Amino acid sequence: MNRMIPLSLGLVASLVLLAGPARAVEGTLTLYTSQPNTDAQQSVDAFMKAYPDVTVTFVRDGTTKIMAKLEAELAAGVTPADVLLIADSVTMEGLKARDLLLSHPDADISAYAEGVHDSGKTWFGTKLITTGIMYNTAATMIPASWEDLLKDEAKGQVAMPSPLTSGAALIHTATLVGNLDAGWGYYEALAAHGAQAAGGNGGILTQVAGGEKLYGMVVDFLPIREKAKGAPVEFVFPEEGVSAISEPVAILASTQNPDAAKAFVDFLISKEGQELALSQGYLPAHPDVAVPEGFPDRSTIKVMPFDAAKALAEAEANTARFAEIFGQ
Amino acid sequence: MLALAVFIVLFSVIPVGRLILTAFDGGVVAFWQVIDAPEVWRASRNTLVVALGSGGLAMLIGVSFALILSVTNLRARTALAFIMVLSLMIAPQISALAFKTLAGPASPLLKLIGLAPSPGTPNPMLGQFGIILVMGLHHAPLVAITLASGLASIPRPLIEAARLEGASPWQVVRYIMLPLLRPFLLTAALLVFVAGTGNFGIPALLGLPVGYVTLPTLLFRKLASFGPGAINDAAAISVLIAAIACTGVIAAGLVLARAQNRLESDHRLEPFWDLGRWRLAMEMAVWGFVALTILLPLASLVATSVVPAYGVRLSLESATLRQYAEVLFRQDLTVRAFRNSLMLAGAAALSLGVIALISAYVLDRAKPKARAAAFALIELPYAVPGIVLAIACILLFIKPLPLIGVSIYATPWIILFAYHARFYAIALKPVLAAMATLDDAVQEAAVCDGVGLYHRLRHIVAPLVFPAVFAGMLMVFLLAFNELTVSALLWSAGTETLGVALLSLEDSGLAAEAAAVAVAATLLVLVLMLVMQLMARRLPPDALPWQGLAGPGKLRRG
Repeated sequence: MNRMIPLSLGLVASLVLLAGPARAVEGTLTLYTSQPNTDAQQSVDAFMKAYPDVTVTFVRDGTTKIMAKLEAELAAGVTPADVLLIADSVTMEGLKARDLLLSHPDADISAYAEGVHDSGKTWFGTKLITTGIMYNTAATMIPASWEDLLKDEAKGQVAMPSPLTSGAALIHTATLVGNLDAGWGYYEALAAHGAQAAGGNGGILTQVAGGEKLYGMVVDFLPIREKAKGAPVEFVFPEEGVSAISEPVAILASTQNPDAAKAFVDFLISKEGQELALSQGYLPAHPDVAVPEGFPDRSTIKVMPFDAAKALAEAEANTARFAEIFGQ
Repeated sequence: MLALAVFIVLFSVIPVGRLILTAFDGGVVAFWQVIDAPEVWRASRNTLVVALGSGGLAMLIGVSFALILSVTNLRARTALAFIMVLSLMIAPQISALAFKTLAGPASPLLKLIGLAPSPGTPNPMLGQFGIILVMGLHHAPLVAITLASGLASIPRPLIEAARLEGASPWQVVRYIMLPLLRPFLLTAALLVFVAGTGNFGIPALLGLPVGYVTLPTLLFRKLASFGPGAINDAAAISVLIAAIACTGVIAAGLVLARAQNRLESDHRLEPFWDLGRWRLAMEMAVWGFVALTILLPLASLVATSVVPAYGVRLSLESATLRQYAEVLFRQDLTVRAFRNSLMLAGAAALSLGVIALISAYVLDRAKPKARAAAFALIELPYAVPGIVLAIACILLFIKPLPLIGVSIYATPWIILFAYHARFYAIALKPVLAAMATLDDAVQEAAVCDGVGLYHRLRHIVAPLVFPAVFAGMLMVFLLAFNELTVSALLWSAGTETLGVALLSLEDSGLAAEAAAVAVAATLLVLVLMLVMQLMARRLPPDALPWQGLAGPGKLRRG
């Protein structure tokens, strides 16, 4: 009996060790993100409210551009970035293959469907962001399919983001080319039809909302959110389906503050973090969190299939081909 | 002497040399392969069209303005000149944004009066026409200021003699003044051509969204989208930009060398053209032009900054200050950008003030030939477009510094370094001019009394040339505060400048927030200029650019 006491004490001690020392989450964290500035600030503020000892700085640019910046810094030997929150998982897979990401095995992803996150737990999808068609309410032709953008009413009136800036646009291009019968022919027809491709999704929103163009290929949340504020725009999920990205978050292997970085990831995929995405007008990745106003039910959104491995291998070729078609 | 050599080598020879080495790294053949691409040819053509078109427009407006202000008896000339210079001191990307919101179906002002074109109409400000228009208007004050210094050198007796002989005011302008102004006209034309070739902010906002690309925006897009892999391409393109700009410099240099007529007179030109009953008409025309091209776009910017969502019709009920609260208090990025720009511009101005004082002292004592050569080198980084200098800095600092092994890439220091290289000449010019007017006797007396160099600089030279140093520092501050071209390529986490923040907001689709940042920055510039105006009496005559432009006071009679 007497011998049992030290034994159980030892058990308790080893249990405590297993749980790990409760290190304080503190210090600074630098986030590289492609979220619009206002959203990025809200995400960061909500996290800092939950972890008051952490100071988060964020840097924002289009996914393609922010990755170029990261590459330049890696070439110079050091990057201030700790955490990435960018458009697509294809880019993340590329980084993972080069061992640039830190895995986070303790992340709680039990609530999510398979495939939302990396099975190796390096990157974690945070939302479902689809790309469909937006139009200015002054437009006479209401588009219902991708093909409608080739109608006469849309001649010279279509704007779309360029993969040279936007990660979502790169995935969208690969998806459409892989799913539409015409393939690249669809984009060639758009270019011949006077469609304009430049910049990121934000620019498309301002052009269509402002009426400089009547139609735009754009990520869903921007027009749905602006419509709620009174802007004269509508968003359509075309009948062939939409392309989708998951705005994944990941930790860079070179981070100086892995504890805070992990806390940031945990926060974004927690119910609370997902509720925040909902309040910002995004479709959250968490299946139990509601759908924002203006969105159809999750099950009714038809997402076109997409070959991630192929997209990764062909990313640069696709960008170059796109640039060539649109004279960039 | 040594100090000057260090500054010149550090800020001019090393960056420019490094750039040329990289551009021709693979030999002339590799250089040609980069240049000989359809996109580069297209961008080169666009650059030339924009530089020549905007240059022509700027000359037309700038020359008319300078002449009207200096020869006629227009009232409120200082106010006119002030607004004209304000429009130059507003960052080019802010002018571009203002004009963009002025026209097109989304224009809040046009919507307000029900004149906005129907949706589906393209914005006329986007593309070639808009770029030329905005750039021409933006560079016109540059021409006017350059001419103002020329006008100041025309001797009054010459004009008076012609008037006594019965020449009409128009004949005086046409046959006496314009020929005398020829070198200044050339200098001004050159200035606006080079500025137009290198301008980044205007084609970035008005060209990139519709795929109209000039060489500086092509270079930016290559580097921003393809990363360091594109650095060799970027270096080659930047040498091409520099070459186009230099062609202008050399051509103007050749003509100027033959057109040297130095006129100095104690009797400055004064207005001699009494417009009589046409004065009011002329005043209305000039003020109308200023209102239309400077004040209206600014009003449009203000209107855009208070719309609830882009594309919504503005009314008293729908107007909101939410965007201001967002960018001035809530968003770290914009708050940080304001702080960064203020600090970088302040640091560059202070440090260049000291450097300019030392350099001018040394240059003033150098032999004329050595002085000319040194000054040419100092001016080089300012003459080459900012984007070229930015590429040079990336090449220079992307690897850790030799000997100490620390990298300043992705730190504020790389931007501060670039500002030093870029604005060295700006800080130096007024000090050099002031130094040349100093009486050597005072200094010689001090030397005889055994006063050392430091104390001579500190207690004799510095107080005498301080107003000039201060004027130079203010110019550096304003230019650096508004700058985007250099920092667009050199910014990193935490070192975003105001220009970068504006571009980022525009790119995010936050047009109203971008307008709010632009309005706040413009107000700051306006306040600084008003402070300078209040201090005018303590500064030497013509230290403030709009004073030179406004010319001396009243019409002389009799």
